[in-house]
Parts: sequence; structure tokens; C-alpha cells
Amino acid sequence: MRIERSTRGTVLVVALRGELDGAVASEVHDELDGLVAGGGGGVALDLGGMTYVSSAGLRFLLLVHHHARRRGVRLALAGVRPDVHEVMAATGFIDAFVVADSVDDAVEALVR
Amino acid sequence: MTAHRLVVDGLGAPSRLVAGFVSALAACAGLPPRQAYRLRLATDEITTNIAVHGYRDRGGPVDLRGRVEPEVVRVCIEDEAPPFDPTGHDPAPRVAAGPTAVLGGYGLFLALRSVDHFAYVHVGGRNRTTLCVLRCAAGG
Repeated sequence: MRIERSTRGTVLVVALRGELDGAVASEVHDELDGLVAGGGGGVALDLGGMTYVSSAGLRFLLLVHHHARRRGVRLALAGVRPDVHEVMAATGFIDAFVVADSVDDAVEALVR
Repeated sequence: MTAHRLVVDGLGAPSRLVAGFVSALAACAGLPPRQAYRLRLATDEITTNIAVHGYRDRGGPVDLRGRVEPEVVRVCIEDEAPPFDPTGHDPAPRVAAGPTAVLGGYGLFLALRSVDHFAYVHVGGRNRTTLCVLRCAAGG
């Protein structure tokens, strides 16, 4: 999994590229958690390049979401691919997040 | 019929090995991407559950065999952990509670719903879980 960061105004955009399974989730947890903690102006998680997620990956995303909320950081998901969206919807995880079709839409939702 | 076999030690998350195993099987069968994703997810969740809960992270053999048949692709997973029937797992209360109430435990739920046929039997002191997906996706 590759993690890329950029900014759009005050919003931090964090792109996750690759597969988020049990092995990867434990490897990238600290890095992503640290990035999100510093996203005071909101964080858009760009999942357009995330091609696979398992239950361990979902649990990881939800933990990041919980930590962000505790720190008062707003989080939105962008560009979720259909297979990944299906897994998130089946488990109800999708309802915990603000979800946008694109990074632009996610940024707009976060600064609104 | 094509057969693939993988033996993992049940230590840690076996997701990487499972990914390669299912990817090779799916390529051999010409599975559509959605079917390949579903088969990988179910295989990943079951083997991870065996490693983490069955063997309690102490390790043990997990034997995966894959077979391409005319209508389906079949993955058979065997382990020597204590008997556990995933089909007896009722996901309804957990799903109803929602992920913000209950953080974990969705793996078996996803495995059960991802495949077109799921079977379990305890035979010869081993758990045997069989996962099948249709080679042509029904309804997409």
C-alpha cells in the first residue's frame, strides 16, 4: 500500500493506493493515524486507488475515523471503487463516513 | 480441471499468500474481476479467522486447494484447529448493531455472503470449509 499526501486549501488529501488487508493495515496504521491527526482543516481519504479491502481493512478505517472524531478532525471518503463500496455497504461501515464521488466533492463537503 | 495447492503455517495474517493463490486460480479460470474479488475476500477472511481465532496466533497448518470446474471455481480450506462451523455464525445481531457499536467480527459475515456456495464439515479431525463461486457472475 502506498500513501500519498497533498493539500487542497485547508483540506489534507490522503490517497491510499493498493490493497488494504490484515497484513497491510497493521503496517500503515501509525502513518495514516499520524497524518489524520494533523488534518485540522479536514481530511479527504482518496480511495480511488484502493483495489481491495477485507474486514481487517474496514476495521482499520473505522479506527482512523474514531481517532479523527475524537480529535475534532472531519473525515470524508472519496472515489470508493465499486467492489470496495459493496463490502463497506454490506457491513454498514459506509454509513459511518461522509462519502463523496470524487476528491473535489469530498473537499467541498469538508469546507462547507 | 485445474488444481492449485497452498500450505500456510497459520502464523499471523496469511492475506498476502491467499491473494497470490486466489489470483492464480482466478486467472486460470478466467474469472470476471468481481467474482475473483469475492473469492479472494472469502478465502482471506476464512484463513485469517483460522490463524487468529482457530490457532490463536500460535500457528498451525492451513491447507488450501483450488479447483477449476466447468461451472464453478472451488477453494477447499482445511485446518487442525478446534472444530468451528462458520455457518453457525449468526451475523444478524452484529450487523444490526452497526460498525460504530461493534468494531470487529465482520470477517465471517463477509465470507458467508461473498460466495455462491459455502459448506463446512469436520472430518478426520480437521475443519474443512469449501467456497465456490460461479465462473459466470449471476446478476453481474
